[in-house]
Amino acid sequence: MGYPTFVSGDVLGAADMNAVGLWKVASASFSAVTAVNVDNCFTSNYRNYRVIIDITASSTSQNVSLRLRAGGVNAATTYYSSGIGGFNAATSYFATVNNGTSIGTLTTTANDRIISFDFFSPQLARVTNYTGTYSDTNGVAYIIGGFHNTASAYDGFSILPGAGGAATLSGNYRVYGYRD
Amino acid sequence: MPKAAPKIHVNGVDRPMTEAEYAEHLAQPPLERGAEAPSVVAE
Repeated sequence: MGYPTFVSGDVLGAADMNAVGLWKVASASFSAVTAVNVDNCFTSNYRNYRVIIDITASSTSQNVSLRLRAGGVNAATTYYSSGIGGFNAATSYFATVNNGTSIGTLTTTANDRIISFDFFSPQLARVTNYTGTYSDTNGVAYIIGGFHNTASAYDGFSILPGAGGAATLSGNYRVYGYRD
Repeated sequence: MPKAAPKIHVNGVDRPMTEAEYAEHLAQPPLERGAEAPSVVAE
């Protein structure tokens, strides 16, 4: 017996493996770096991708942003994003960015902040849509979404600390491809 | 470049930045902030 129910001792054949819906295509940890560049993770093997970033340390209080990347060069224009967050001690929060330079996510002094993003067909020469979530220290979840309004193909992404200069981030990332 | 060269992570490896990479890093456009409310609990 194979997919969808396995029993002890089953041999996994092609049909079983081809039914795997999420496949890890890249992962690594980084320590006190000023930028994290991940290349060649978005390929024709998969159409859509989940990126999970775990920030474990930050040299200062700073925002963490993402940029798409192709051929080792970051794309730094045409990000259109908006986000909402529920705030337990005040009003809810809303932000929008038109033609931004990056995908802005959380602001952190570090300490185990998770950023989770889906990128939709970044490897195709079309507009790349994205959705993401993250939480702040108060346990408030934020949801953002948007698109990179350039019909170009991208093979990777960059994680960037917002304080500039020698400000650094530590953590790890994992990239998964969604099987069509 | 500072005396202790900043590090960069590229495809699974942390390493010191080259001078060209550091210059490019400093010249990058400002980054956007995300949707985030003012913090009420110090991290």
